[in-house]
Amino acid sequence: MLSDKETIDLLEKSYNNRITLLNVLKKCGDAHLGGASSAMDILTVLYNKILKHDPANPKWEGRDIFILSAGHKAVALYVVLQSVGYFEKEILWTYNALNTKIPMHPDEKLLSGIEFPTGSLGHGLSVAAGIANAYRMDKKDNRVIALLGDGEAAEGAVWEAALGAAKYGLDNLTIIIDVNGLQSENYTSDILPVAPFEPKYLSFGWAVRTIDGHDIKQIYNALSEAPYEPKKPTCIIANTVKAKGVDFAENSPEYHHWAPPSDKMADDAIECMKKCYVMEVDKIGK
Amino acid sequence: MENDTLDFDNPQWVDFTKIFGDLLIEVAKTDDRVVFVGADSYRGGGAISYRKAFPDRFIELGVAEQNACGHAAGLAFAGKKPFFSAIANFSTGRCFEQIRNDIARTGLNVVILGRAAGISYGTAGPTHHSIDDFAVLRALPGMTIADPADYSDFKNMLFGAIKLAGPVYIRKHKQVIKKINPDPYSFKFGKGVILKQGSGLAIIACGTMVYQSYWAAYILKKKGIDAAVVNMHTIKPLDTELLGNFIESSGRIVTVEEHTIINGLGSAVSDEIAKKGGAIQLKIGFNDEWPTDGPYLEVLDWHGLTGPKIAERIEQWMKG
Repeated sequence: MLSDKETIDLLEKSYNNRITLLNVLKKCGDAHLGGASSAMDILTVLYNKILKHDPANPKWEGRDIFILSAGHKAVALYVVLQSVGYFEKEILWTYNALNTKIPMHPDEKLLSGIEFPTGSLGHGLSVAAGIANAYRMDKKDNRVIALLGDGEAAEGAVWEAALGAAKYGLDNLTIIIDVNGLQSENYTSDILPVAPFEPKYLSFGWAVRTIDGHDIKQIYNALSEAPYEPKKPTCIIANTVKAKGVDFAENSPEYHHWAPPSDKMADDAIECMKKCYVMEVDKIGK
Repeated sequence: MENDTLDFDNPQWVDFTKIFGDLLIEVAKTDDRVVFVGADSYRGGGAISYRKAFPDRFIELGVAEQNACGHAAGLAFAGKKPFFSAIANFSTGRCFEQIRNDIARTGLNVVILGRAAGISYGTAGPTHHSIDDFAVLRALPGMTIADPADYSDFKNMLFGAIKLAGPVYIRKHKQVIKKINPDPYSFKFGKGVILKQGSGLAIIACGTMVYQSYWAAYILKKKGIDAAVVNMHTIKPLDTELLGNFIESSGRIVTVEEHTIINGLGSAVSDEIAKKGGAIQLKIGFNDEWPTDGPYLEVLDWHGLTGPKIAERIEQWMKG
């Protein structure tokens, strides 16, 4: 269990990360604001409290493996990796620039801390399950954790992978689905309804828990208590708000990508984020 | 002719899909990282014996090639040496993007097998013919693409594939000549094998077409045309040194492949000729067309890919 102090500490880290994210947009232009902010609390908890990893030794054999299957949220992952010490902050200001190490979708050859190149949706779960299956065969206790989007669930390969992971009883595998209800073009319910996730994953042989993806304690508990059932992979359905913290952008299809049209708009977004942080802190302990 | 053991009237065939499992057992004995990954393809793909020998290193993921391919990438990421096998069109086309992003882009050592590649499943119709597998894979940097001409090629490829750094594609034919390579011969990916010397003409072939080309050369020799024959078992990386020697010495190159003439062996050879000049080329294969259906050897003949038809085509070309 996280104490309230630990929870507030993580929340502060997460909102600092969101403000850094907005500064990346302010300095560098277009990025996937919506999905990056909806996933930020999850990523912050993962890299600060859950994953075994060592920024000074990124290829450490004992590390847990994180695969960002929803690769377009990479800008959030870059901010988090930087915040825990994987690389110098200056690299963040090269987003969208020629020869950057942090392209819009992550590239493991360019940046330590990135495990696998993603960006084409529907690949990450297969790869994560393959890694988890190898660890199962070798009796290694490293965890494999993947983050997927809800729009991504339209890819059939996701469901192929879900069946395969269940067949091999991969209880060392956890996925978090960032269910923000929107995708590139519009609401997921409009483009292709994929919800509800819980009965689908249950019927596919997974152990499932649904959480508020912005509640630090729920995120921590869901991730630290997995696996919930032996010989079953874990699915955490995290209900989130797209563009969380930027009130004028929240839950709007217009903010899947966003390039702030002016510094003032970026600064307004940062002010929104600060206010949201205060409101979230107020909720803790209540 | 150098190889006097061939009987063109009664050729000795071998079916790689029948012997694959026994060979994989031998490979797996040499390296405990070897695992098999199937997409409902282990029985017809010849891995029954392997499953019995190594049940814990056998993964079957059903008719779901995209997942099997991504899963194989994950296994390789974690240090395994996966052999991913499915019917060729499904192990290359259905999961092309998984090969591209998860295996080729990462440079992981996954061995992809194209079961019954080419028109091995002649009667099975266009969905089961695979004459574009080289074409799509050749566009990917770092791929090794290999087409075995006989049993010894296939065995050497399976053993050698896990010693390469990156991804490897190997065709697993159903009906291929048992022996065409010289004895002894030295196998190395990216190094062609000269089966017959000649003058004024060199036939560069791969896979099943090596035997057919050798047969063609036998026919042509009786007509006074002395063609060299090369088993170019690796389409990528191409043995440009050996090819360069034949361009220089013969000035006429014929390529023969059980594949579309677009972006396969013939195109790889053309790319070299385009760089240096020095030769004209005849490309024999499927001429940007869908293969017809029927028994394997009859489909080959229909499309002009048997020894006598190849010889006839070359003779016309030499006259023209």
